[in-house]
This record gives sequence, C-alpha cells and structure tokens, in this order.
Amino acid sequence: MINAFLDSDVIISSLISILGASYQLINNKNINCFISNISYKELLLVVKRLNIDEKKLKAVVKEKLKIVKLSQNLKQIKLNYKNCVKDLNDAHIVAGAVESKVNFLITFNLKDFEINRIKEKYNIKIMSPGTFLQFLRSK
Amino acid sequence: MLNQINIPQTYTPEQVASILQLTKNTVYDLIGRGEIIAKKIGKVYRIPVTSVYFALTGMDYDLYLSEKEDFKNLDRVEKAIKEVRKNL
Repeated sequence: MINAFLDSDVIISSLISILGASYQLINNKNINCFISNISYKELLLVVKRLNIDEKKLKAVVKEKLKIVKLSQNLKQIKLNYKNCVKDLNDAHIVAGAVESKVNFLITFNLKDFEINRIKEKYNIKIMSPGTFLQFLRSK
Repeated sequence: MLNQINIPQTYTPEQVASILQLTKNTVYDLIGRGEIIAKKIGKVYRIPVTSVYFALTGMDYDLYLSEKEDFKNLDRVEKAIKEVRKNL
C-alpha cells in the first residue's frame, strides 16, 4: 500500500466526475488516502459553495479517506510552513501531508507549492493525480 | 492540448524509435508483444499517436484523458477552494 495525502481539489474533482483521474485515485485499492481535520472543514464549505451534495462528500470521507488531526492551529501552521508554499493559506495542506507521514502529496495546484523544498525537507513528492497513477503503473 | 498542436496522427516504427529513443528492432519487438499498438497496412506498420502519448505527455493515453476530464471543472474548483481558505 502507498500512502498519499490529497489536496481538496482532488477530493472535489472526484465528487464532480467519475471519469476523472481523481476518482480513479480515490477508488484505487492500493492507495491509502489521507486528508486532515482542517481539510475536512474546508471541504464541507467548498461543497456547499459548489452545490455538491454534502452526503456524497461524507460518504467518500467515511469509506475512502483517513482523517489526520493536526496538532497545531492554523496560525502556527502558517508560521511553520511558510517557506513551503507560495500562498500561506495552502500551508495546512503541507502540514497535513507531514503529519500523515506520507511520501506523496497529490494536488492539481502544483505551482503554489515549493516542490523541491518540500521534497528535500520532508521527503514528500508532489504530483498531480494522473502523474501519480502513472507512477503506480511503473512500479 | 495535443489537438491544438500540429502533429501527425500516425507514426512509422522508425519515427517512434526516434521519439522513444529506442532501436527500430525494439519497437518492432514491442509491437509484436502488444505493448505498442500498431496497425499493419500491407507490409508496413503505422502507429497511432495514442500509442506514444506517454512520450508526449508523460502519461498513458487513458490517464491523459482522465486528467483532462478533471481539468474541465478545475478553474471553478480552485476558485472556490481559494475563497474558502481565505476565511478558514
């Protein structure tokens, strides 16, 4: 099994289309998918904003995802991970990946993360869902 | 993405060998083993662009299409996430 932390854009995309790479990833039995308690709070607000059925999200979270509880509050997280992101508001995603002890962070938003720094400091590789699935095929 | 680029829809085994940096014999071997899908027309092979997508996009054709499916809604998804994150 491979452990991966999923950014919220991947979770939301999997709820919107069953034909996408995000849906495939979440339903891949060889991957343990993680989100954080802060991501979950965020996801509940995003589904509301996008008029996606909240029940769909709750079912995916219950059946497919593991929630890691972050030990720090958002203010501390932003301070600790400010060098890992271009937008401070994304810092909790890096914190979630670090505290989940995964080696992969899956996101569509590659440009907003300091990919090389995160890899060097935490040994976490950042890639898109399609690239990650391709990587799994090569193993 | 690839639809907007002027690329041929089929390749010869020699062209595929060049794209994938393999020998011509290896390409014929891969065709024989079914790892590269090709169409035999008379005595020659033609290889559809979908068989060499990996070299062009870094992904197999099916994964490329799957990710493209996600991209259809990505702008509004990213926008909603950004707005929510600002107010967390």
